[in-house]
Amino acid sequence: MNAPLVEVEHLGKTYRLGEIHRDWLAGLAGRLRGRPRPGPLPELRALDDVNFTVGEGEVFGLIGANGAGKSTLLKILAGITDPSTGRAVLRGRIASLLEVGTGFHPELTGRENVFLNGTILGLRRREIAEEYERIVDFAGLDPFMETPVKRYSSGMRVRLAFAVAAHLRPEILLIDEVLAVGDIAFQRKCLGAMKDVAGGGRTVLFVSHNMAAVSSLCHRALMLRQGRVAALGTTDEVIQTYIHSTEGVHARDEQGFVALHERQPLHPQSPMLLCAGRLADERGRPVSSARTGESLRVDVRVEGLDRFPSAVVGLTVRSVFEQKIFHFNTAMAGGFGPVPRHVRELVRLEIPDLPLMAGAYSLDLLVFEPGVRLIDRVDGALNFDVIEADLYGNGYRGEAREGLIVVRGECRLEGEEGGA
Amino acid sequence: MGRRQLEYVRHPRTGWFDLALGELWDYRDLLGMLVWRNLTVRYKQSAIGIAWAILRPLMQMVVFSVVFGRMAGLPSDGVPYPVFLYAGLVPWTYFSTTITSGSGSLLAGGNMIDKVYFPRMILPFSYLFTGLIDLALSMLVLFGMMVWYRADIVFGAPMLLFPVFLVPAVTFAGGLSLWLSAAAVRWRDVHHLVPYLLQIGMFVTPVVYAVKLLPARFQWLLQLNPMTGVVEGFRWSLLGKPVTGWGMMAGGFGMSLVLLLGGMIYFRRVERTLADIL
Repeated sequence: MNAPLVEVEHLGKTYRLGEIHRDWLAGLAGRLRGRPRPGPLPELRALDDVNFTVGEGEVFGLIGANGAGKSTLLKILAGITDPSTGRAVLRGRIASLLEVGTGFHPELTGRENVFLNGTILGLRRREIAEEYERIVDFAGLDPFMETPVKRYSSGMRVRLAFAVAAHLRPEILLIDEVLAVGDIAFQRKCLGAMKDVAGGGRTVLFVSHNMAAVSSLCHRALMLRQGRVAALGTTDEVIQTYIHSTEGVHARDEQGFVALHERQPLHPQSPMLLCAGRLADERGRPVSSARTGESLRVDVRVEGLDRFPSAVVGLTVRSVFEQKIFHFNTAMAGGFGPVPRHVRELVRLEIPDLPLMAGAYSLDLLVFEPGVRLIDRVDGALNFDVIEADLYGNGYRGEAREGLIVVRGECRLEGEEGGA
Repeated sequence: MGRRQLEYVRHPRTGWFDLALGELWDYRDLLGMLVWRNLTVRYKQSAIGIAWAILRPLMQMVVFSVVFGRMAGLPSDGVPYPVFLYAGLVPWTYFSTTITSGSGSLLAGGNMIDKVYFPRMILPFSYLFTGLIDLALSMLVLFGMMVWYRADIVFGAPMLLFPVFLVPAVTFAGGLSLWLSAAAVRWRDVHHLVPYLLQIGMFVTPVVYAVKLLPARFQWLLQLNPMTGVVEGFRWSLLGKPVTGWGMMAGGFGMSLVLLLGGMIYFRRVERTLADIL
């Protein structure tokens, strides 16, 4: 049994908050006038007793809300900063990709930057020369290699940078959020390159907010919450924990509701009926993500619905490109029936078999009187991720490039009349 | 199996003498690329490009020759003043440009330091080599001037020795760059201070005058400055002018070595938390 390639033991990192040497002279002058010496700077435990191991050839995901310590962990592993406590052992050649295009200089040409960026990432010049053709090919920027990078579009820059990174040949690859840039077509290509890397026996530590990417790439995952390990295990288990953790998402109350009243009304006179919204699972626990083929429940707090007896509450789901994918409202579901409407209502909308492909989506909430008027609407009221699932029970997981929605179907062979 | 030899351990570092020189050698290609980048970037989108490396000290020489040679009438030890001056200006310019860019190198490279690991010492060190390339070009001008002025100069063996005097110059500039660049990360004040220190430095180095201009009992003060030895060494090897104190020159070099070693130790300590405080 080989020793694990990455071994992390009791790793911790403490940052001192506040400015270092905040104007020493002014401080001295203040003290001479009798002001007390400022106390010690407050500390932040960015990482606290983190333990895990990653075996050879494993693709390991690091997830967690913003500020959970993912990037700090990666920086320690990359050697960029020292831990405060504990230790980590990495066995093998390391390449870290915490940013696309580190050290790119705008005045240098594309070709020059390939060599500069490559050596910064730890390649030898000879190695870059050997890979050069393939790098240019991958980036698809052959005609622009003698042009200064400052004349590139941001998309071109990213393509060039990722092309260099994709041709690193480390044993341990540390990646932070690089897929969050570039256009969709290029992201797909990067994901493909990452899969090649992952399949090539390399060990990969992958930090991402993109649950779809983590889910499709990683074997195991670790979830951090406020610097501590919140979950560690198979990707599916850890993502399940992540879905049910609602911390870090903006302005949620303890029940997971996102407040919607801090906004301008649709028209100066129109009432703001929509108060708050949340996503929940079938058991009513708040979630921040949903799974393909499973149920998506949206709870909406509405105030003043009693004044609009014929009002309908609905939602519209949009893709990241703002394209409307589907709409669903209470009228479609047959209305609320003869029950009385209270001043404050919780409207529950449930889509039992979510037909969305893995990816990021948002939804608009609206209240309207059919055929009369729109009363209230909040665009992009809730954001959520959809995580792919083994929808067909045979391991087939759809990919975003196949489309935005998922359908189930059947097939059989009928035999052609007259055929042999 | 051979891979198993590669093992990186991340832990809180506490020692004093872990200079990691082997690692510097592993990253020599990056050093080369940075030296080349420093040079190229400076002359991109300029009409005459690298010719500036020659033109800049040349113009400085003309200005100083007029001010100190003609107007102030400083003696030049029997050599035409421009030649005398330029022989001192070449090593001094090397020193001052290296210190200027070297001391700010960590601040300038902040975005790289935060995103990828490499031995940080490479950043200030890269300017030592960039400066040497500039210096080589300026030397061509110096040789041209020596011929042009038909100075009473013996072209001979000592002339080949001038690179020897670059060793203390590189050592001193390297040591100071390490101290200043690391300190500048904590105290941005350094960044404001360096230009003034260099201005003073030029006048406590015998660039525009000769050491002999001072009364003998004060000459040792000047010789405490390691750059004095470098400038005198240049004038000795190239122009055949006597050196006022070989012993002091050796002492200055010794001091530079201590400064360099101390700088490396200090730099390595600052390096640990560099990414956090940049």
